[in-house]
Amino acid sequence: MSEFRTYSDLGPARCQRAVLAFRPMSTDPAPASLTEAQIEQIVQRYRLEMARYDGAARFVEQRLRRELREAAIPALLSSRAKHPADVLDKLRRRADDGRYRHEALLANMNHVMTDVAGCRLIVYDPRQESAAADIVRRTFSLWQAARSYEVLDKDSGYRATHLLVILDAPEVDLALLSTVCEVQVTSIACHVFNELSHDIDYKRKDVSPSGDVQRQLRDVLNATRRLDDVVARLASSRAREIESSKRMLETSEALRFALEQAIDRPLRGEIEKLHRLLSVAVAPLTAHSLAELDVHAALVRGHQVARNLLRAENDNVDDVVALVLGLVTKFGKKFRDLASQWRGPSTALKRAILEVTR
Amino acid sequence: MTASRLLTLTELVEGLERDGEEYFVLDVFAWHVQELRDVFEHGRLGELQRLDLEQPDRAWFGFRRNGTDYQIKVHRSGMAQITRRAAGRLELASDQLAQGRLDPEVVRQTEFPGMLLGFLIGEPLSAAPHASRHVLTMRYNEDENRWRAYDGPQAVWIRNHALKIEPAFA
Repeated sequence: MSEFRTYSDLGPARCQRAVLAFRPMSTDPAPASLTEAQIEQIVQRYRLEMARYDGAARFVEQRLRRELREAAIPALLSSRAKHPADVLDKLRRRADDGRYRHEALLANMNHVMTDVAGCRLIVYDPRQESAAADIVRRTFSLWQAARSYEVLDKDSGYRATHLLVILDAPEVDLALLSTVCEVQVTSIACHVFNELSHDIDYKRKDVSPSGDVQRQLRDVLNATRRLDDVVARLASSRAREIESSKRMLETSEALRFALEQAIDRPLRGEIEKLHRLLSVAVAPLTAHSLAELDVHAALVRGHQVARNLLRAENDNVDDVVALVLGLVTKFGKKFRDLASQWRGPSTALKRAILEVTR
Repeated sequence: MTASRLLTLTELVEGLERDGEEYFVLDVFAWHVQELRDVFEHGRLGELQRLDLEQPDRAWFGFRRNGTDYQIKVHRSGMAQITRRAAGRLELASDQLAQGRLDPEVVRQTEFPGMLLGFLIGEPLSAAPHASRHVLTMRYNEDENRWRAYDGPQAVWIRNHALKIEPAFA
């Protein structure tokens, strides 16, 4: 897996969403550049701490794998701790950067170089990028720092959503606590371009890309944009096909397709669990049976129930929770019986079912 | 892997009546029911009464619990259907019933889950023709001695077996 890029690696960005936190203004005088000896010292320190970052990145990957499966979002996941040679390269490149101060790096390198622990999440359908990023936000705490959540769509062609998460939940192993991990979310087509252009731009080995290479890179960019469009169209067509079919929705992914077609937007929440609930309660489970359940009305009802009984704002209630709460009058007893038997960490869906059917 | 015990007719009735009259039919694997095994293995009817006197080999029986009459039919696929005798709306054709003993291959196939499963069928979701129905996949919890809703990996298995033989889902 290639090196993850940090924000500042990427040059000027057009951010489509507001940055969630701000960076305090520094009044310190301009710091001295890092010396080669200092860089060596920091890399040496990093080598000793690398296992922690590797563990943190793997923890993030494993949690996201579980959550994405629950949400029925097909994705590729990988994680890594930055290679010491890449840390060395980066420190040399940033030697004059005011944020890369010797004392700060020694005190907590991870809070300066925020991509030493990294996880990459690649979705097939570009429309699922925001849903996947939303899952990252709901699964972990965002680090309270500048640019902890950015949707990048750069002039260079780079597209991805970057999130900085901090491992601060009670179930996190003590050795990994407070580690910051960078999560990059992108589509598989964008990933191809991002990787190729990164290798050419940042690992040029003193060979500047020729006009020919730049033109071909532009061709790759166009091809990947087209691939994104084609994949999105394919997913839409498949959703319409499933929606109009009387075939059973045998997988959570098929259920997602059918529901998204019914409500005409991406669906958020634990689709895997929703599929289990509906499969137990309705037969045959088809797009037609979803129409019989009136998904639209159930969502509206569910949000009302959440407001009245759970005192939750709409923004805090995902679609699956709202839908299930909206169906409680029909299936409340069954849902309660099932949810009370679910093992593993208590989720928003389980809590909502048990609370509302109490 | 097999379940450590078998279901009884009493437990089948508890399953069917779990939510009052919300469900009409309970499907279970016939090989998991003690009284049906007694019939198939030893020809012992016990409290079961044959309902088709003209074709006594057919697996179609009646019995009574708490003042209510029930009927139980065994499909050739190894599924047993229990309904209230008067209100049972989902009927099997006579030639679909198991005859004599259960086919050993059918028995082998229905031994697999290692748990006692049931599938309840109730009202349609809407008045539309061929509307989906309220159903419930259940597992008999041997520790608690009661039926619980079940959404584990074998739920698909019992559901698919049950749907195949239900005229309502034809």
